[in-house]
Amino acid sequence: MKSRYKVFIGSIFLAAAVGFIAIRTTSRTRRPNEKTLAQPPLSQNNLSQPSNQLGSSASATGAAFKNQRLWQALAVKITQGHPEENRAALLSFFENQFRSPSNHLSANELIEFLESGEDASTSLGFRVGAAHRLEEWPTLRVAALDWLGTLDPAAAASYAEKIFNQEKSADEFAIALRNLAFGLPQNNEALTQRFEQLLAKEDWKNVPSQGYLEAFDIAAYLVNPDLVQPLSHNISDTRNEPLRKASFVALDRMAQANPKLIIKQLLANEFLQNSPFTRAGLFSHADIRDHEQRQLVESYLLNTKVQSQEISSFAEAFPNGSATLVYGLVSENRSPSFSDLAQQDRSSLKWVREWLGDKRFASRQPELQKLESKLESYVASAVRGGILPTP
Amino acid sequence: MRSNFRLSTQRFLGIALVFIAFNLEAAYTPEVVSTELSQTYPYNVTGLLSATEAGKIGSGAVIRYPKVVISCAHVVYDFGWKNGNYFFPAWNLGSFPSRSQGVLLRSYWHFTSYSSGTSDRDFDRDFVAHYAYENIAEGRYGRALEDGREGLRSTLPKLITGYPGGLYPSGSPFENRLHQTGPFSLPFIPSSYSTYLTINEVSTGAGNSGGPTWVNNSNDWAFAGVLVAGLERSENDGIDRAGVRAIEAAAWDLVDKAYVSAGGCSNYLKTASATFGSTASTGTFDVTSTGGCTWAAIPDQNWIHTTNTADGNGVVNFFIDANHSGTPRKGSISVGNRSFQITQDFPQIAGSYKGFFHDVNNTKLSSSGFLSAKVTSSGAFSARIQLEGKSYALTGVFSREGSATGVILRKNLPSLEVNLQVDAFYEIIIGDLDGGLWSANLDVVKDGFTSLKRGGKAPKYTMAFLHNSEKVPSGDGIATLIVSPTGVTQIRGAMADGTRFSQKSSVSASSKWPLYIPLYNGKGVLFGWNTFKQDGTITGNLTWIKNEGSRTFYPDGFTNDLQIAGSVYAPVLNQTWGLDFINGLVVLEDGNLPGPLSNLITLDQNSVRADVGAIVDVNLRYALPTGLVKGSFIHPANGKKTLVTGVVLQKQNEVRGFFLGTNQSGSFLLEKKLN
Repeated sequence: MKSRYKVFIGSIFLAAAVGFIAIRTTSRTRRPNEKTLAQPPLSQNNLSQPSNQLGSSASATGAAFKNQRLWQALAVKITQGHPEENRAALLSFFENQFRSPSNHLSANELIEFLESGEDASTSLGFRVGAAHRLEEWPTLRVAALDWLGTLDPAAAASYAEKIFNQEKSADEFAIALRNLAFGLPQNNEALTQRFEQLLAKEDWKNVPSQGYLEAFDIAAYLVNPDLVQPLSHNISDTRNEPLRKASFVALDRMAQANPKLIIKQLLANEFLQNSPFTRAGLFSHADIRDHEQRQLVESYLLNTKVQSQEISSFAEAFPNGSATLVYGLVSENRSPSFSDLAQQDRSSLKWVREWLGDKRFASRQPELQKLESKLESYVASAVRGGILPTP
Repeated sequence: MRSNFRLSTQRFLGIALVFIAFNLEAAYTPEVVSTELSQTYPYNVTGLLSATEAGKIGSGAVIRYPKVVISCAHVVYDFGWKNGNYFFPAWNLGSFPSRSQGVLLRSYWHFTSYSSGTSDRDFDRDFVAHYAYENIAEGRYGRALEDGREGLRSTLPKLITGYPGGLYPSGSPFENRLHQTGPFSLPFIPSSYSTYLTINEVSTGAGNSGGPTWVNNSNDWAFAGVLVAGLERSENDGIDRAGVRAIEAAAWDLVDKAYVSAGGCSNYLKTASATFGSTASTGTFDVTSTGGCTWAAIPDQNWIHTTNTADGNGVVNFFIDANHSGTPRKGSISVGNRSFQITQDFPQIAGSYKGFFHDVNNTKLSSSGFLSAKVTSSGAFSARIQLEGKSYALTGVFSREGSATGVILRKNLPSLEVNLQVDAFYEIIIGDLDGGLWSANLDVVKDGFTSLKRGGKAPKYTMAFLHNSEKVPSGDGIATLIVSPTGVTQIRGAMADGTRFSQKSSVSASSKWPLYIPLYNGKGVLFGWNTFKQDGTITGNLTWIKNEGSRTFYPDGFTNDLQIAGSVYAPVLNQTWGLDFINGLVVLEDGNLPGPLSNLITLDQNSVRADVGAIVDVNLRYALPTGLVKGSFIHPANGKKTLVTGVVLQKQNEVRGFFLGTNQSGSFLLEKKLN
């Protein structure tokens, strides 16, 4: 057997204190939300003495053996403490090992650890922080993958292929997607393919882990129109609220980034017919100063299949100056400037008034009148704030 | 509809079953804020938030930027965009406001994550930052902690403001009034996810969602987080609890970037705080400005001074006054939307003090004494008074104002009334003593000498007590002195009348050294202040008192004024004894001599060679380790060999001392020969 559960003869006291430890095998598939099984604890004594029970690297000596002991010591620590303590221990470990001048462990040694199949639960979530780095890591392997991406992006992108092919952990898959995006930045085709692979993984989708959901940032990063369909499908799945929310955030950020591309897809394929208010919100990102977008919005308004309630919802949000801001695995945040938005308000008011005078939009009069009134208040506020000149 | 506070609580219940319910009433519940108070900070930046399109009512506050309202997401966002909300800062009337009474919030930034749909992330991501085209609360905005999480977890006072109208039946005159919950000092407890924190025994109510939670630091309220959830025992939740989403550096980073990208300006400080000692100090900090902010550096305390104003990047120079108070103090300098925190220590009263008292108008032995005291941080002191060869103990406690009085009963003498006043900043105790027949002023200083350390080694000094030529005795007493790195002094010497002495004492932080040496078995004293100078000298004035006695020398007693001539002493093994001459002149005067005598001498490595002069058999030997000079000559009055004692004063470039004649002392001087 390439690797196996590690059995360490530790003190009974420490076993009771530790409670459980998750040293897993590479041959065992972990379901996204599955709790880590209790395992015999590593003891401090074991860690201080050489052992020949170290799984796949049992015959290793010298530096490799030292590294195994480091990982094991870390595993013991992060399964004993409060989540905050675990996080501090992980940060300290990686910063000491990879940032210190002596540079104890290399990217190769990180990969060696990943190859060993060993792991430990951290009691932490999968939380993305600033600069596309994780702030919390649910497992030791996810932490190792996160640091590998920082230490050696090319090696991390290369190793991501192994994670993709194994399909063992959604959280690992998610961080591997980020590593691929930054390690091979020109290869959006491969990134799209791997993201679609994630979307298609039914067991992960049905009980999505935090990492699985955070991976939807790939869609916001790619802004690929082909992804509108699967995301729209997810949004319509009212049985899976976490999946709906992740898909909505992704699609909404895509619409913020490129409204023309997204609403064009929505209109052409009649996506989100069962989620009219969501569709209205996505259309509200349109900037009708652009001729093509204005035509798309006019088509939307003139579509008799679109109910007045949806148009009313559109009018409540349009022109949408709001934005979702996230710490994404790969995407950047966008926010309209005050002056551009104010100009958009003024221009939109002009077009809305034209529509109100256009008989084609007669059935939308109540919603458009409400929109006109709102836009007037926006423009007035922008004038009072000195953002727009006094008319 | 008041914000879905109750919905939030239900979801909260779903994940908080491990908490224990208490049977006590909530210690802190919302109270209506008076109209007058609502016009003051931080109430005047708190406001009623009407999410018109979403049909919800909540709370919020203008924070950090004059166009930004921070609130919680569930008030305004429900799986879809609802723009065009209104904010009513400091609204505090019974009726619900009309739109014209508020400020239009153009849109908002919704902070979320892709995994926010998982149950344990709801509150963690539950906040929004609205922005307006125009200033909201007449340009006012709340100060924010950079790390609200730290503030909430502290024991600093906290306050929640907002509009918990759900506590009242519809139409109640209190429904739309501004409320406050607290202040309370209980710390918030972090949940498993670190930016969501809860606190028991604090209950707000529906409508307070989005309300700011303030932490009082630097004597002012600073925004720390947004109220996002709550439990109310009165609503059968079983427990009172408030849940707050702390706004920390990562969240501010998103707000700042969004605000700047929207065209707003923001300032950044490279360092956000500094701590100073109790003395007056100066400092600087850098300001980096994005978006072309014009800013002014405005202190919030009158002991902080700065005048900087700039457009763009700049440096703020500031000056802080000395802290004479008995407590540490905090203040800040606001630079646009940021603030630089200043903490200043207070003078510590605790320590050892030493000094003396005497009647300045009629200095006598009976009214000249020494006081040493140890004072604790609480102001308790134990003192010992030395007077006329006796020692008296005194204990007590300084009042809040720093004063203390005491009475010492003395056998066969009037009692001694003591009035003390401690000043922690100047590190002194002053006062007076009333001995019945006399009154003396007291000056005592705190130990704390540090300025004369010499690489950890105790420096050596030599000293001469220069006599007043118009008074007896003649001659200069001499001494050697060692000062330890911690300021402990060890002096050994002899007065000009041959009386030997030694004493241990200490030096103050300001390099003052109270010298008080009882002499003649309590029948005399030498006392006075000396000062260690940066140039290696010691200066000061001493009073030397000897009462009448039976000794050979000066049995009638005397009171004499002496000047200190002290010099740091560095042993130098060469021909000049550390002086800058080889050829010198020895002068002996008084001491029953018929007149001054002098001799030309040549210095040798540790002795002198007599050249030409009137002093018979003069010889002197120099002790390298101590700087002492000893020798003898034949006294012309009695033909006897007479001892000479002196000390090398390297800084003064001379040797001074004394000799004893038949019943008078005389002076000894070895100085550079003048050409």
